[in-house]
Amino acid sequence: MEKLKDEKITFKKNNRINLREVNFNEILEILPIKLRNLLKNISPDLINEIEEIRLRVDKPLIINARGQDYFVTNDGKATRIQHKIIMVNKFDVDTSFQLVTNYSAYALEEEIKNGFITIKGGHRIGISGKTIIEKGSVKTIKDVSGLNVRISREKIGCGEKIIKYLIESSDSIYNTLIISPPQCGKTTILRDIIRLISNGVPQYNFKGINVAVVDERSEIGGCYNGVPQKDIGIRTDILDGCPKAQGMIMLIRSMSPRVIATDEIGRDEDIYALKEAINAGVKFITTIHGDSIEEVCRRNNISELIENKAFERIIVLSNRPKVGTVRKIIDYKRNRVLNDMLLFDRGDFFAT
Amino acid sequence: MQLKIVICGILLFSSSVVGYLFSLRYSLRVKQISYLQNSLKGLETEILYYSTPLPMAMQKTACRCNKSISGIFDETFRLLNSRNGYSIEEAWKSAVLKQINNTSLTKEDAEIIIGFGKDLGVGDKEVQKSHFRFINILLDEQKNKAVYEQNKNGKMCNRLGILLGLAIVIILI
Repeated sequence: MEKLKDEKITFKKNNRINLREVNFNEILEILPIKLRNLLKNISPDLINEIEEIRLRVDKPLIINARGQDYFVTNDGKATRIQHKIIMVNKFDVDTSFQLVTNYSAYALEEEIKNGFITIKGGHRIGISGKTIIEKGSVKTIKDVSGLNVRISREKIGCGEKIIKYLIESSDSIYNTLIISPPQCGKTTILRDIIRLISNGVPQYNFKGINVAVVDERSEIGGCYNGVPQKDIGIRTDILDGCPKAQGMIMLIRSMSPRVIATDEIGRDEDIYALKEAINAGVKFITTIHGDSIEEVCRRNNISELIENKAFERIIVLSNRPKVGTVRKIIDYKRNRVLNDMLLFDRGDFFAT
Repeated sequence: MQLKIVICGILLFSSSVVGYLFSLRYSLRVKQISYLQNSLKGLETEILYYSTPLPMAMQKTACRCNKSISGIFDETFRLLNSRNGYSIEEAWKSAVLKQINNTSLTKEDAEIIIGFGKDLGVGDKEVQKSHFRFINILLDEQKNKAVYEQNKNGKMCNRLGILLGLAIVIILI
């Protein structure tokens, strides 16, 4: 066991994967004083592994860490038994909601419509409650009854294994499509690839080039007040919360990017904008939900792009044996598989 | 004799000044309600058209509005910006209670202003808009009351001061 631990550490060092430390104060700041003081008492070991904090009206405060749910006792200890535990009331949820929105729910109408708000540090707060519908679409959420604080941890360095397959020349990359089922880490990989393209990769003699990102769901950059809270590189411009199709065309016109990156294309107008980008001579990296190329090809609009060989590289991700596994990297023009082994990205070593 | 006249003069003058000071409270209240309405209008603009976050909007309003009531906005800004987990309602209430003594506003005014904090910043812009309209109506009402009291009590205080001075002078003579 001891040996295994050691090995893991050396792997981490070798691959320069580094989990950026989470500033827990940023998270405490959105909780009411009562809960704040309790959470301060929880052991730092657990705090470092917290993934979610859930506040629901008249339900216990639940912390999700290490894949398990923990309650918090009256004296601020994490426990798994429902005995003398802290309950969250309406006032706590309301106050937290005010703190999350910086007392300005009116300024975040769009975010509330989408059901989540990004706070400083790139963490996302999911909101549930009573929705108000107008003309068939959600207008706002009132009477907030549940908040889910999702703590975001970057995996810096997870794209380094992949980037060498994407570099075309010292200042250009291949058009790339990342195919992945949900929850396989495609946004994480995309973010790190963006960072590498933007910063440059000296070991492959690749200079950094301008990247423009359309971040429709604020997932790539985790922007707070328009400033990305995650490391997406020094030559990256980001349009936060903008519809992809519109954003791509805006960026091509305004920021003269060499590469455009977006998450989860699928609608017809996205494809149209991608074609526009190809015509403008801009390279792009994008992701799509799916299990394999064949499955993606069943969608009419995408299959057209794939058949025209618009994508020069296709990366297929999988969550087996582990989240973030790179199953295949395909050179689609020459129709050949480039990598001969599974690559892990969230994990930090090659699987043989 | 001359000394007597001088002393009587001083007595008359000071009692009418006291009367005037009493009446000033009424006229200041009218003015301050107007100031408050104006600054709330400014706050509304910040919220509805610039989508400024509330703490910043409070600070801006505090800078712009009349000194006599700017303390309320300034104090709220300070409390909200400290990020100590106050809700808007709490911060606004404690700011109003703390600053109300520096103004000529009455307890009744204070209660209305405190009530305004309950829905401030909550909900979308439409909610905010109707909310501001509502407080404006309430303050208009208060202003009418204040004007009425100013006309009634303010003038009375003024006259009472002079008359009281005269009465004392007559008694002394």
